[in-house]
Amino acid sequence: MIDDPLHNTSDAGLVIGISRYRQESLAEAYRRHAGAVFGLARRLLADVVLAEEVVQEVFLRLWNQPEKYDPDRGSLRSYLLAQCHGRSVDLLRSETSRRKREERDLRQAAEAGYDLEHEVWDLAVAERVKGAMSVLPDAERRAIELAYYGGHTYREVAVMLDQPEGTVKSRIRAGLKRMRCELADAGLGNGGRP
Amino acid sequence: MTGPVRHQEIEELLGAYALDAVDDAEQALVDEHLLACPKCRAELAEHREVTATLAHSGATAPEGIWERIVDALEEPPPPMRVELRPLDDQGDLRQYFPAGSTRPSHPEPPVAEAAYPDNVVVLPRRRQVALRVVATAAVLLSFTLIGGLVVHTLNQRDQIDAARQEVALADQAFDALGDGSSRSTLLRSEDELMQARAVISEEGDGFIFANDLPALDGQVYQLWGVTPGRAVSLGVLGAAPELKSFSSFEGVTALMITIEDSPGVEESDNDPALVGSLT
Repeated sequence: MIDDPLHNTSDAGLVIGISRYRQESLAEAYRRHAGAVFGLARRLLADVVLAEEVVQEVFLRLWNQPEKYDPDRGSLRSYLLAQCHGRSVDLLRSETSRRKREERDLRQAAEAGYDLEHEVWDLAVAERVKGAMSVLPDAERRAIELAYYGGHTYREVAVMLDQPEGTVKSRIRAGLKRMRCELADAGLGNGGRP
Repeated sequence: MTGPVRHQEIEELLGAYALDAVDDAEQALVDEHLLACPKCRAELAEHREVTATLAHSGATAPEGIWERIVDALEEPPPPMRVELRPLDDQGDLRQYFPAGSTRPSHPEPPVAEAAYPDNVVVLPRRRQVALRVVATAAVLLSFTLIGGLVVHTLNQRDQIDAARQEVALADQAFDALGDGSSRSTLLRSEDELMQARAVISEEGDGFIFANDLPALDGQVYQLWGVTPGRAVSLGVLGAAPELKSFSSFEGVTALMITIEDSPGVEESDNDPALVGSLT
């Protein structure tokens, strides 16, 4: 792979290649990001088959609609993960997966909550993210975890935490800002790519 | 509920929005606001980068997914170079107008596009996004001025995405028009009743503002690039074209548009309806 000219191509360059129907550009984007996309989908859905479908959908969407990725609005990785998260949450909120979600929530509660350590693949990133999360006040961290990993709306989170909706909304925003500062200080400011 | 109050309300939602933790109505509100607010777009981009780090629960994607993706990929468009017929001279494009060629006489609403044969070059709809210039301007004005606009659609996100794409395409087209290294032309019919502005950037990215062409019934407009001695299909513009993009190639000195029976042709015996020399 070292000799592959695409190996050093930027993500934005890959998307340009994809817009020109270059399958090898999509393959390189897949090589770089499919693992993270799959990991997120699997974590959210607790279902390998559904997670695979989400991965397929996310990359086909990139192929079919590359113009939807705007490099000015963030990294390709964050874009793909946002797509993955949105689609996974849609599935989570659908009737058909409601029962599975409830079962998963019970299981995760029994496993002492949402612990980043158990599933991270990039220890360097994980450590930094963990460090950034650790500086958050508990209320902010918990609200973000329930919303992001649990796929709950902030209103649902407010009920779960028995807090006012406005408070949860503000805490999520404040927590993300705080994390951004921490991650930037740790040299991690670009969608998880140091 | 406009101005600072609305802006502050939306700002407060941005964190939850980045986590997909808002309800559908709030998502529509934020989507609408983002179109007109670069400050909130910037903040959202920052939140997205943070959430991307949260997603590091990575694994190796299971084998087999890539193969399924490849199987499902859109076929790339057929070769763009479709020889039309020999042309003797590029000096005077008016030679291509036959006596009596006119604009279509019965503009009708656009017909549904039929399946194109494999050998016809169709501007890919998703990459070469059609632009409803006037409609988009109206949509954006609505977004800006009417905070409570209700979009009657089952999928507001896709609609807004489409609007963004259209605006992005328009931006690219106008950038190309304003770039001194681009070449452009005003394609005209012989009676000058039909006109369409086209521009080709130095890199060969072309845009044609075809929204003033009358809609056809059962026929389509087809764009051709003219080089010394030949004409090459650059794509089918459809029955009711708007702003479309296309890829040009080296040596194109002029553009012309023919009217063909739907869904378009590989070769044409028809005389051009509009022509224009690139300068």
